[in-house]
Amino acid sequence: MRLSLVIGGAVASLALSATAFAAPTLTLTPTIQRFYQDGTVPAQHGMPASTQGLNFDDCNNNVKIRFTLSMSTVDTSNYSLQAWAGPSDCAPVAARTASTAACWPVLAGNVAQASTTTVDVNVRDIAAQIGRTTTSIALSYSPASASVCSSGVSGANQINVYFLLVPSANGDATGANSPFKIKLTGPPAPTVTSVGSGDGLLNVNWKAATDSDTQGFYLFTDPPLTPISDAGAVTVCTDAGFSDGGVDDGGNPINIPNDASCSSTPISVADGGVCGTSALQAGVAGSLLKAFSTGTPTGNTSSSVSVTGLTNGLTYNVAVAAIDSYGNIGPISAPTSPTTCGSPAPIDDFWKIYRKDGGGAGGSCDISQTEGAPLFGLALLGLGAAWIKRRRK
Amino acid sequence: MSRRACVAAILGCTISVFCTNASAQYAGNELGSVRHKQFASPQRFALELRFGPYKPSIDSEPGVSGAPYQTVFGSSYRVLAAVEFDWQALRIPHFGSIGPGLSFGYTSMGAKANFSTCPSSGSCQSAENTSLDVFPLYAVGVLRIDVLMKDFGIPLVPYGKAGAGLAFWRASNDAGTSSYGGVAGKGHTWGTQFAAGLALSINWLDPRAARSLDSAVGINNTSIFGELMWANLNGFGGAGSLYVGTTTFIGGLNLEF
Repeated sequence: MRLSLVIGGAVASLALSATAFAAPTLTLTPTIQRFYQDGTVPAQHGMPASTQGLNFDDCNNNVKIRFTLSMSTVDTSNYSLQAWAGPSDCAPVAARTASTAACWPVLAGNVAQASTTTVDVNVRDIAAQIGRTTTSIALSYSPASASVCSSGVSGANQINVYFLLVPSANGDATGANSPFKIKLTGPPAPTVTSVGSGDGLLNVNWKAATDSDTQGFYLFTDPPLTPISDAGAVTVCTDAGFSDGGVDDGGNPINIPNDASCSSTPISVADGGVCGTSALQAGVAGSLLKAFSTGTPTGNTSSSVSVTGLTNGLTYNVAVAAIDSYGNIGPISAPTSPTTCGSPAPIDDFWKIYRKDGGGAGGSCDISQTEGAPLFGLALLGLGAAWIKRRRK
Repeated sequence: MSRRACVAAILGCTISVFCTNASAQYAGNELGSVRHKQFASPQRFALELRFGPYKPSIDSEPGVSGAPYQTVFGSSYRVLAAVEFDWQALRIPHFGSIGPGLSFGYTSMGAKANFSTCPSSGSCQSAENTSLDVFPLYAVGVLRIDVLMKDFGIPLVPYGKAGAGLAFWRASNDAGTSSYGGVAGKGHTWGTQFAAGLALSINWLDPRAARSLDSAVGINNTSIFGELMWANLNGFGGAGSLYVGTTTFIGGLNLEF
C-alpha cells in the first residue's frame, strides 16, 4: 500500500513537471498585412499566386509587413522570441551563427512574448542581405537603408521570415515562418522603334527586351498627358524613411523623407523640349518618373499603344518601361532623336474630306445603335443551323 | 444541208453531249436520277455564303465636288463577305422556285489619314487610321429557274433577285466615330437591290456524297454561283445619303435544303 502511494506520487510529480516544462509553440496567422510607414495601406500589386510577393516599391517605401503571432505558453525565462529572415531554415543554431550563417535578424532585440501579438517587419530589413555569403552576413541588427533596394539583386528571391523561440542556451530553435518572394528589379528597357502622330494622338511602337516575366508596359510622355499644374519639377526621394518624424498616437515612429536623398527633375509642362533631351532619361527606373506616366500600364505584352487626348502642336518625348508580375517598373527606353518623339497635329480623315467636299450624309443612326443588324445576320445563320439540326433528327 | 442548219446541228450536238455527260454524272453511274429523287428530302430553303469585290460609289453622290473616297481609300476594291438566307416558298413545277431572301454582309476600308497641313519635312501621311465600315442588308424576292437541273440533268440554275437594300455605315478614326462640323460620321442608306446570276450544281461531281449529305443533314443541292449585283444604295436618289452601294460581281457557295 505504501509502495503504491509512493509510485503514484512519483508519477503525478513527473506529469506535473512535464506540463511545467513543455516547450511553448508558435502559430503564425497565414494572412499578413502591408502598411506604409505612415500607416496607410499601399495598393495591391501583382504577386505570384503561391507566395507573398514584394517589389522595389515595397522596398523603396520601406513597407511594413504585419504578422500576427499566437503563443501556446509565454515562457520568458527559458526562451526568447526572435525574428530572422533567410533563404533557408533559420531554426538550426548554425544558420544564426557567424561563418555558417544563412539568416539575418530583422528586428532589434527580442519580440515581447504574449499569447497573441502583432509584429511589424520592414521590407528593407527582409531584403537587406539577399545574396550575401555565409561569412558576410551581419548577425547584429541594423536598420537597412534604401540602398538595399537598388543593390542590383536580380531575379525573384525566396526569403522566409522566421519567428523563433530560441532557448536561453542558444541552441536550435522552434517556431513558425512565412515565405516571401522578393524581386527588386523590373524587366530590361524596351526600345522605342517609332512614334507616329495623329490628331491629338500618338501611336507608339516598341520592341521589348527579352524577359520571361514581362506583364505589360508603362508609357511615359514629356510633357505629361495630364499636366501637373504646380510642377516645375518632379521631386524624387530615394529614401522615404528613417528621418525622425516623432511618433504617432500609437507610439509608432513617423518616418519622413530624407531630404538628402531627394532630387528635382524639371518638367516642361508646355512642351517636351528638344527631342531626345527630355527629363525622361534612359536608365532611370520608371517608378521614379510616374509623373510622366500616361496612366495605367498596358496590361499586356503587345508592343504598341495609341495615346489620345494630347495637345496638337506640342513635341512629346516618349519613353516606355516594362513591368513584371511583381509590379516592378524597369528602366525606361533610351531617348533617340527623332524616333522617340512625336508631334500630334490635325488630320483630314475620310469623313472630314467627304463633308468638306459637299457630302450631305451623316448624323443618323448607324450599326452601333442598331443592335438588330448584326443579330439579323446571326439569325440567318441560326435559321440555317436549326433547319439542318431538325433535318438530321 | 444549209450552212445555218449545219452550224445548228453542230451546236446542238455539242450541247447534247455536254448535257448527256453532265446528266449522267449528276444522276450517278449506278443509281440514276430517278432513284436519287426517291432519296431526296424536301427542299424549302437556301443559304448562300457570298464574297466579292466592293467599292462604294460614294464619289458619285450629287453635290460632292471632289472624289473623297478615292482620295482617301484609293481605287482598289475591298472584299464584301455576306450571307443570304432564302425561303423557296413557292415551287412552280417544271420551272423553278420563287420566294423571299434576306442577306447581311460586311465590308470595311481603311487607310492612313494625311495631316491637314503637311509638315515641312517628312511624310504628309499621319499615323492615324481612317476607315469606313459598311454593313449592307437587303430583302429580295428570289427566282431560281432550276428546271434544267431537275428535269434535264443540266446542273445550271439561272436566277434573279430584286428588292430593297439598306446599309448601315460608320466612318471612324483612331479616336472613334469621326465627326466634322458637328455631324457624326455614321448613318444608314436605303436603296434598291438587284442581282442576276448562274449557279452550277456540284452534286454531279460526287453523286454518292451528295446523297449522303442529303440523307444526313438534308442538303439537297450544293452549288457554286456567280452573279452580277446592283446594290443601288443611294437613298433612292435623295440628297444627304452616303452612296455606299456598288455594282459588282459576287461569287460563293449555295446550299439548298
